[in-house]
Amino acid sequence: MEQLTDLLHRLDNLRDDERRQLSLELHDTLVSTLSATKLECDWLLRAAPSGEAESQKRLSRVSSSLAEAIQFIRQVIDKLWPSAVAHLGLVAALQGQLADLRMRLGVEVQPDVQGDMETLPELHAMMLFRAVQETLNLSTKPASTQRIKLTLRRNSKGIELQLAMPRSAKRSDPPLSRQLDGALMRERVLRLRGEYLLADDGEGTVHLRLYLPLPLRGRGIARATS
Amino acid sequence: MQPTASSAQRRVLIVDDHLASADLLLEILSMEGYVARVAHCGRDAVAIARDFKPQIAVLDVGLPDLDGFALARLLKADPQLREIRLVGLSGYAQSPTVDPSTSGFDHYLVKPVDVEELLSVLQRV
Repeated sequence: MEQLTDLLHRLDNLRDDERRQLSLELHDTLVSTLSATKLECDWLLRAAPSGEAESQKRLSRVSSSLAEAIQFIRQVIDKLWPSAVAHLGLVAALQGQLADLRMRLGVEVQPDVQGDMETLPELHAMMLFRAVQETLNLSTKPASTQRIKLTLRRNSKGIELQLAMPRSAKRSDPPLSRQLDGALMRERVLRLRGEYLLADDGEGTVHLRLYLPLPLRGRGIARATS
Repeated sequence: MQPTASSAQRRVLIVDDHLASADLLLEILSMEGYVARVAHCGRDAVAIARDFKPQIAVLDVGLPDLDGFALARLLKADPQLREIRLVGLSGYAQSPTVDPSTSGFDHYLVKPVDVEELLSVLQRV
């Protein structure tokens, strides 16, 4: 059993390394190149004579398509490896997720953040972000925005995340890959001697509670370099 | 497109490791009347900034050697560049809240950059 657990950890780490590498490559090449192309397109659009309505229309269409492609790639990058957590910090990265939720479901959620989140260890910040990300994927449009709550509390010993939100109306089992992600998340939390609880209250609300104790030293990490 | 009064002769340093993006920004800012120079990494940026003494630097956050936040702090810490205004550019996230007092940036934009917004920010900072 111990050997199996070790193997699982090694495979988990390998998968993380591959995802991190792929997301960096996507960001550094594709997002940058498409962004530059869009900038070029917008610059041409700005310089186009006002009489050339057809050209302006086409350039405008290309620009919109590029914006959509960039947005889509960002979502893929975030699913592979949430680099924004390392670059911008946990709270900013969560705000990005909530902005995505606002676009997808029209839901406004203001996180309640207490304590210093800027100096969290990267491993802890990543884990909290992924837990929120995976739980948000379970949701569909709620009847009332009052039912979505996201709370982050940090004290000297640890950090606690609580998220309550409506579950998807479809009650089918999640795909195998998502079940595996959930199992790996639990394993990671246990490795850090934390607590992880994801439960449906039977009334259509998913409750996530995650507690991670903080290491005695090395609480503050610098943001990752790229 | 005529250079605006606020852009005339203002020096801008563009720091981006993506060559096409940097060249395009250089072209746009030059046409708008700014005097612009380009660096493709953090270390070159510091060296060029000390010589060029820009009033504004537009920094990509994801550089190969120095993190954009670290570069921002480095530039602001230089006695000759204390007055420099910094605009951050990032391909990450939608609209992060960046506190100028801690990040070192005076303004922050997310790629793809909107031309009008960038020019407006450069006039204001």
